[in-house]
Amino acid sequence: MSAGQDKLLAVLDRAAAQPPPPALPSALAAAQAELQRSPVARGWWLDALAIVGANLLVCAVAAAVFGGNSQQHDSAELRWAAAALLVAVLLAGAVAAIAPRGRSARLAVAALAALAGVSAAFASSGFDPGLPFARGIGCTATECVIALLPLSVSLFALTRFAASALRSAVVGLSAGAGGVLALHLHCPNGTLSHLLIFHLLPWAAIAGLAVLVRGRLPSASLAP
Amino acid sequence: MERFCAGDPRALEQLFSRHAGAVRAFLTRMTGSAAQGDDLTQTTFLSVVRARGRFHAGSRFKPWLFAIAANAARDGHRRLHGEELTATGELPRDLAADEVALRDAGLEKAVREALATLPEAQRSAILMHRFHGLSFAEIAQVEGVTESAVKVRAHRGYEKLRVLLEKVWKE
Repeated sequence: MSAGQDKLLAVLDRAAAQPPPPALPSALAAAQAELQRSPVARGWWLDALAIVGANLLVCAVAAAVFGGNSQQHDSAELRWAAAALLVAVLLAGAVAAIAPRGRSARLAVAALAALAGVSAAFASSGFDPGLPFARGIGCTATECVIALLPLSVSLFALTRFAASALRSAVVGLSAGAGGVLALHLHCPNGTLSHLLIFHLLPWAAIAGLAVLVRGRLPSASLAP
Repeated sequence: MERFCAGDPRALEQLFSRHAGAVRAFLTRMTGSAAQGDDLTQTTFLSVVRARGRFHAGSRFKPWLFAIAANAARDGHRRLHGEELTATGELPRDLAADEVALRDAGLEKAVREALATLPEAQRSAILMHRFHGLSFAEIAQVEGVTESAVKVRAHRGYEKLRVLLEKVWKE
């Protein structure tokens, strides 16, 4: 270590050794009042459970309303492999976005979502049902409607702690995965352009929207 | 922490008396204002109470507390009106004139002014490392970045401080 560095550290240590300011009675009183209002700590897993519940509910309703259609896919194996990845994003994303730790898990979910998207596109049969291209906007609208409830529940849960773009994006991917799954299993259009523009791009947009909206919402606490 | 998470007010009081002074000092140095440091200390401990269900049992409380305080400082910094920042986005150096008289007021002033010229990330890393005894690994956990990134920030910050504070030890 250089002499200059030694002297700098000595100066900083002298400044750090200054007596700390006294504790603030008003800050303690405010914290005590808050503790009295909610004496039982709320486990983070409750919020994760609520998001998973909302996701599964909308998926069940979508499955009951739309039923299935295999024209979109080349093979049953590819169809179900992509579906499994989408379910994994839907479930793991909800937990990873809310868990206090696990930045690696959130990054893994983002990678899983990319893989699910690629798989869904790879599984396409190229079948064109002969409808006008712009009719694909109906798929986008369906996906957004399905994502509405899980996204709302997720964003509300995220306001319990400090905003994070990664958490918001992961929760958006999780919330949007339900709609992508419904379209994956129901939509008859197997052309790549339709899948990319009306299924997968809106999924990415939902994740982006989650980041934007969360960034503008107040946080109940600033905990990580 | 276990008793605090279960709602014990005496446990909260103990945590507060042990850590509030350090948090207040950190936030005052981060914001350059004693008044804002006081406000953000209250915000920090309110967040601790509200989010205690998110605390990972068995881990150290201090890094988690400083993560909240660092978020509070960033949040407070965002709320600062434009006219309160210098043209280059640095903290004003004269806002902390209401500091209580210290044993070495001149030194504290010089260090405070030097710290105020650093970018927020470097200032935060140095305060947590040198003033509050957190390891680089803990600071990485607080800031949500890699340990290497923290070391780079601290190194750059120390270099800038060395140039700015050279006149202090030459006097």
